[in-house]
Amino acid sequence: MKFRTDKDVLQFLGMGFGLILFGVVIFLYLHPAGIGLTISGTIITLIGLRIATKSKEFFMQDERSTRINEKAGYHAFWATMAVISIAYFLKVTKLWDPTFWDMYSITLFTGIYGWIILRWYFNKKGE
Amino acid sequence: MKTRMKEFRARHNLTQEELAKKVGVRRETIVFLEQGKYNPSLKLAHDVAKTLKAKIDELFIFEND
Repeated sequence: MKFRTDKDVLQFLGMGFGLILFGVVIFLYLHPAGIGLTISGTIITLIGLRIATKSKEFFMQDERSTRINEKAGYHAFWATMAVISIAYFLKVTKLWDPTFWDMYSITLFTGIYGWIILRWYFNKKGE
Repeated sequence: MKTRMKEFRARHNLTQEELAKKVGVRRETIVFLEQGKYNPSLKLAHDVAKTLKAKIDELFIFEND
């Protein structure tokens, strides 16, 4: 198995190792939340190793992939706005009293997962 | 939209991967172009036509609704 060692891959792996180290230090000396950073760093490192086994062309951003990303981002943005509006309406009508963490989670997951799912959808659908 | 890309690609003995490399896009993009599921930009249409030594309107045929 051939591993690429160009700048992009090394930067990605460096980021992963850095995050692991940072997470370990936080966990040992400051807060147990450091374990989350360590896990994230491990995931990033594994992704980096996977990227290193693929050719540069595999991850090339051409006009079609850029267009799909932009389209998915546009729709994910409006989906997030819709979810926030619904939550606001529920709050105002006293049907639900969301905390900051409720809203943070809803917004983050709608945006991120919405974007990922929409990217897959637009990739399959074509134009 | 219909395309004759596959026909012209076969004339020049090019694989989808080779055409993608020459034109500077992913192989996936060539697949979607050949299936008529993607409308290329003018630049991409021009680059594909130039590589396949054809005119743009020979390669890409837009059907009237």
